[in-house]
Amino acid sequence: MENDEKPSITQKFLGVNPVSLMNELPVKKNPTYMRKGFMYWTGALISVAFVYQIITGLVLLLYYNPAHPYTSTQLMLTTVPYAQLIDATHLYGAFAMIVLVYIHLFRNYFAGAYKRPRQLQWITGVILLALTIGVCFFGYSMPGDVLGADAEGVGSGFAFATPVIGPSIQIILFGNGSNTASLFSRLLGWHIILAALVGLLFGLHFFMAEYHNIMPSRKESKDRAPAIVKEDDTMKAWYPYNFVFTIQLALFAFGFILLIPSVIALLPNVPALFSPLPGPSRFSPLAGNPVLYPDYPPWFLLFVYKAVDFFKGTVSIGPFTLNGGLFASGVFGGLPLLYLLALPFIDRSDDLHPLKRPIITGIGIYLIIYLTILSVWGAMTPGVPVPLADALFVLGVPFVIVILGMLAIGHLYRKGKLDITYDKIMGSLAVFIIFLMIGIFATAVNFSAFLSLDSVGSLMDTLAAGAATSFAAVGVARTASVSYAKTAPPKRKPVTMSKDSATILVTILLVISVAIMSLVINLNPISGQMIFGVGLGVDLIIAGFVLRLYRLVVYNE
Amino acid sequence: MADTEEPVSEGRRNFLRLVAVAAVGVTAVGLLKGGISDLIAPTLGLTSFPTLTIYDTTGKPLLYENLPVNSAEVYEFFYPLSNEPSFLLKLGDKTGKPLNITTGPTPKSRATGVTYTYPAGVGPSGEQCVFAFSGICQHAGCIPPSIKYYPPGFTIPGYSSSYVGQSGLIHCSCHGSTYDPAEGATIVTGPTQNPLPGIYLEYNATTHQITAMKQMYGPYIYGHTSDLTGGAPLGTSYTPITIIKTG
Repeated sequence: MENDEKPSITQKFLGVNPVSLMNELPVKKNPTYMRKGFMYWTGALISVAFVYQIITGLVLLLYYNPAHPYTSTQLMLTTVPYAQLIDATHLYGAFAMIVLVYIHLFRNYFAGAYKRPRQLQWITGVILLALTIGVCFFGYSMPGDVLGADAEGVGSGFAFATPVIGPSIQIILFGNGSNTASLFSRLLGWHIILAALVGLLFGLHFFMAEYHNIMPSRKESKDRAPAIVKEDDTMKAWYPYNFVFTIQLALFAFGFILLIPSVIALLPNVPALFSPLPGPSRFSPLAGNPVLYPDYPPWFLLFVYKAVDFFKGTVSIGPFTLNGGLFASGVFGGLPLLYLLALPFIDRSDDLHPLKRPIITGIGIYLIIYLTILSVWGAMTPGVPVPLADALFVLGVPFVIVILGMLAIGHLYRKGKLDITYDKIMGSLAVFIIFLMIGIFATAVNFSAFLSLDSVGSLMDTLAAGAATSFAAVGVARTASVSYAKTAPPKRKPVTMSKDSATILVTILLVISVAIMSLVINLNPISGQMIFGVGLGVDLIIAGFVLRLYRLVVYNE
Repeated sequence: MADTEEPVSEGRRNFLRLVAVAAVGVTAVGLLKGGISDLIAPTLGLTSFPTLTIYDTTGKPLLYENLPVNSAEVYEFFYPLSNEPSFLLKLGDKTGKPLNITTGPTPKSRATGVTYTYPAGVGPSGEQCVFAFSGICQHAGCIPPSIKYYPPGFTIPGYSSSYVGQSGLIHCSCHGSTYDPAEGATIVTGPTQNPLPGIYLEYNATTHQITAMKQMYGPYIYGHTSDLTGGAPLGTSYTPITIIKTG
C-alpha cells in the first residue's frame, strides 16, 4: 500500500521505498476523466511506440552489416530465432508511429493546443514530425531490397537536384558512391543519428508537456487559452492510478504493434508496399517487375511523390536552375510543414473552439484532404504527368469548398444558431471529408483524362464526379442543419459492469492468456514465429484489458 | 458516478492484483523468450565451398566479354563468406591482348617453404586469362582499395624493384607487399611471407558466365583459421561485383 508507514523490506535494503519514489517523479497528476479512452494520450502512445522502436532497432543493429545489407538481413531473417518477428514489427512500429504522430498532430490542431502557453511545444512537435519521417525514410532503405532501393533512389535524386550544394548534400546523406558499404553505412548512420535527435527533442517536448500538463476538456477550459489543468488535492496521485493506466496503454500499443504485422505476414498476396518483410534483392530479376514492385517511395512519402508529376522541365530562380518536378515536390511537401511551424504566430487569439477560428479549422480539414488526395493520386497513377494548372484546380476546389463551408458554419455558430454538440459537428465533418475526397479524386482522374483525351465519356465522368461532390457538400450542409434543428441528443448510458462480473471476466481472461501462451511458446522460432507473434500480441491486448478491469474494480475508474 | 461506489474488499483487491500481475507476467515470458532467443546468434559458417555465379553491378550474371582487360578499377566480389573480399582479374599483356595461361602457376610461401599449385586461367580457348585471388593482404590484412591491381604501364608509388610482371602487379599500399597475378599471386616484394590465396573458377563456354566454386588454394585467407569459418555465408547462389573506382 502506498500509505504504509512501516519501513518496507525494500526500504531496509535499498535505502529507499520505490513506491514513494514513484510519487516523487516529476510528472503531473491528471483528472480522472482523462483516463477514459486514449484521446488525451495520443502522445503517450507515440512514446510507447518509440520505446518499442528503440528496443527492436538496437536488437536488429546487432545483425546488420552495411557492407552486405541485403544478404546480412536475409541471413538474419532465415537463421536467427524470432528475427522476422522483430524485423516486421520494427517496420510496422514505425508505421504506427507515423500514423499516431498524424493523429496527435490533428487532435492538437483542432483542439487549439498550439496556443499559449504551448507554442514552443507545438513547434518542437512539428519538427519531431519531420524528423520521424526522416528516420523512417532512412530505415526503410536499409534492408537493400528493391523497395528500399527505390526509396533511396528517389531521396538521393532529391538531394542531388538541390542547386549548388546538391552534390555535397547527396554525399553527406548517401555517401560517395564508392561501394555498397559507403551507401549503407550512411543510411544506418543517419537512421540512428536522426532517431537520437528524435529522442532528445522528444525529451524536451515531453517535459514541456509535463510542465503545462495535458490540455483539459473543453468544458474545463471554457474554450479559452491558456487551457491549463490546476493540480489540486482532489486529484488522484500519479502512482498508482496513472501508472497502471500508462501500463495499460503500453500493453495495448505493444499488442497491436505485434499483432498487425504478424497477421499480415500470415496472409497471402499482400501488396509489396505493405509487406512486413523485405522484398527481393535490388539485384534480383524480380526487382525489374513494375507490376509486383512499382517504382514507389514508402506510402508515408507518396504525397510528395505525386507532386513530381506536376511540373516537367526546369524552373529558374535567379541564377539557379532547378528540376521542375523536384521543385514542385519541395513546394508541395514543404508548404504544409512551414504553415504548421508558423501556426502559433498566425493564430494568436485565445479562442479554442474550432468554429470560432473557422479558417484555421478549415485549413486543418483541408490538410487532411490534401495529404490523402496526393497520396492516393500518387499510388494510383504514379509518374503520369499532370499539368500544373490541372493539379491546382484539383487541389484548389476542395480548398475553396472547405474554407467557404467553414466560414458559413462559423458564422452560424457565432450568431448562436448552431447550438449543436461537438461530436455531431465532428461526425458530419468526417462524413463530409470522406465524400469530398472520393468526389475530388474521381474528378481529378477524370478531369486529366478529359483534358488529354478530349472524349465525351470522360467529360460525362467529370460532370458526374463534380455532381457527386456537390451532392456531398449539399448533403453535409443538410446534416448540419438537421443537427442544428435538433436539440442536444440524449446522453448515452455508459456501459457498466458489476464488480463481480468484472472479477470473473478477469479470471477467465487470465486463463485464456495462459492457454494461448502455452500453445505458441514452443512453436519453431523460425517457421512458427509469426503465429507466436499473433499469440503474444493477443496476450498483450488481453493483459491491457485485465488492467482496464482492474482499474474499474479497484480504482472505480 | 464511479467515485461514490463502495471500495472493494482487501481480499478481492489482492486477488485482482495477483491476476493483473500474472496477466502481465505471461506476456513478459513471451517477450523475454522472443527477445533473448533473438540475441543468441546461431553459429554459422560453411561446411563446403559454395558455388556462386559472379554477377555484374546490374544484377545479371557477369559475362566474360564484359570484364575489362587490365582494369585499374578494382572488380571486387565476396567469396566464400560475406566478409571475404576477392579480386576478379582479366590479365592482358602491355598491349591489352589477353594472356593465355594454361598451366597452373606455382607460388611459394616464404613462411613455410611450401610450394602450392594454383589453377590455370579460365576463359575461352586461347584466352585463359581470368583469375581470382583473395583481396585481403597476407601481411596485415589490408583490403581494397589499399591493396589493388596495377595494370602494365601504371606506376606503383613507392615500388622500387625492377621486376615487372607479364601483366602488371598487385601491390598493397599499407606496407608495400607486392604480388604477381600472372604467377599465382606469388610474392614479389615483402613484407608479406605468403602469396594471396587463389580461388577456383569455372568458365561456361555456352553462357560466358564465370562461377567461383569447389575450393581455394594456398594459405588460408588472412585473419581466418579456415576459409569457411569466421563469417556469415552469403546465402545466395550468386556474388555480385562491386567496382571500386581508384584515383
